[in-house]
Amino acid sequence: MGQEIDFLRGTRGEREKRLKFLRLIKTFSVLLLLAYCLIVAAFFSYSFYLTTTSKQIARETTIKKNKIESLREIETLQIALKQRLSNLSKFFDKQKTADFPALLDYFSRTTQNVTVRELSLSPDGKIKFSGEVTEMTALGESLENLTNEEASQFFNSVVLSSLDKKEGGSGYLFTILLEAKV
Amino acid sequence: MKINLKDLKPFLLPALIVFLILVVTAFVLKPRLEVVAKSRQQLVKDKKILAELTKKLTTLEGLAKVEFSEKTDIALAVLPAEKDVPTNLAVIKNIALNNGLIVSNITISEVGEIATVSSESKIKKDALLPSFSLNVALFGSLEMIKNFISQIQSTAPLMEVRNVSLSQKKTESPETKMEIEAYFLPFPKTLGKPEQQLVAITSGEEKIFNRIKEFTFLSNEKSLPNLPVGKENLFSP
Repeated sequence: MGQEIDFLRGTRGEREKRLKFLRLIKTFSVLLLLAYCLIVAAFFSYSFYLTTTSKQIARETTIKKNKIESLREIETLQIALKQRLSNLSKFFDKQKTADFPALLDYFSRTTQNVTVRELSLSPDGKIKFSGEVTEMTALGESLENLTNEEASQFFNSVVLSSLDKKEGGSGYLFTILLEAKV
Repeated sequence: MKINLKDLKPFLLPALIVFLILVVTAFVLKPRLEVVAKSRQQLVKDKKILAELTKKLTTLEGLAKVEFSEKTDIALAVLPAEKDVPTNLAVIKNIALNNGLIVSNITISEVGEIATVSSESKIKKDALLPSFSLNVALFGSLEMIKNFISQIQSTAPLMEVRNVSLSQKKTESPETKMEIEAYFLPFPKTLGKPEQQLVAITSGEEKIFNRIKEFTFLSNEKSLPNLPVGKENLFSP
């Protein structure tokens, strides 16, 4: 039996390897192309989606803006009302002035026997009360009324600042300085 | 080394594919990518704006026009949009007349500013609202003055009695001088963008509304009533 000697075996092996490698490269590049095409398609689809959605949102925005525009009158009313109420709220919160009607009411009730010459009230609660009495008992009564428990709801301090006998006649002139609660 | 071109032929297709990918990426995808990125950002913004518009529209549609109109009328009567001197004077005179007081004098401070555009009015130091002062001199009893002050402060437009000075000479009825601060508030200059949200009225503000609703609203205040103001004829007995 004759034995065959294959002188090209090594070369053929190398060639097969090379062909295999080339096939692999070819397959890989085709796959790469396909993958790339998919990516590009996905990218353009997304881009198309963005454009479409943007257009749709722009359309809806315009519709809503027009609707809001048609309700401009209510918006104006709401803003004007809100502005006024918000400012009034701050104003009333900050408003700390003496309660003039209550103070005047108290004075008119408690100084019956006194002739009021001057009564000045300022928002910070400072009160100057000048008057005239024929007898000291009337002044005493008034002072009592201005310092009793009821008066303590109205005043922080009561000071008799001056007391003079009236010139050329009977009676007394007095000035009381008070500090009302604010 | 000699390169056989025939050997390179199998690499032609992969090389072409890589080249194509690079070219498309560089000249088509990359510029487009920037556009898409910007579009995406813009879309996010637009979606946000649309959501705000939807919210605002829902709020606006939920507001009853008639109710708001009435409420705003009350608020505007209490706090006018501009200096309304005739109304303030008419209210002062009406209340004085109702209480049997005689108005001897009314002086308005900042006369030069009365006709100015309301939005340009300046707010006094430490004040929250723009205002002008009216110095009023009245003749009447302490009781009348008390009622007058009480009514002035609870009648529209908003006024506040600042200083009261009452003096009495022997025979005459007491003369009271008082400084009345009259308030107003110009409208906001702009309404804002459509997408700008409406700020809802708070419960605290609702309480304020209920408070001002109780104010007295004198009708036809604009026409000044013909009242005895001081002595009409100084030479009359």
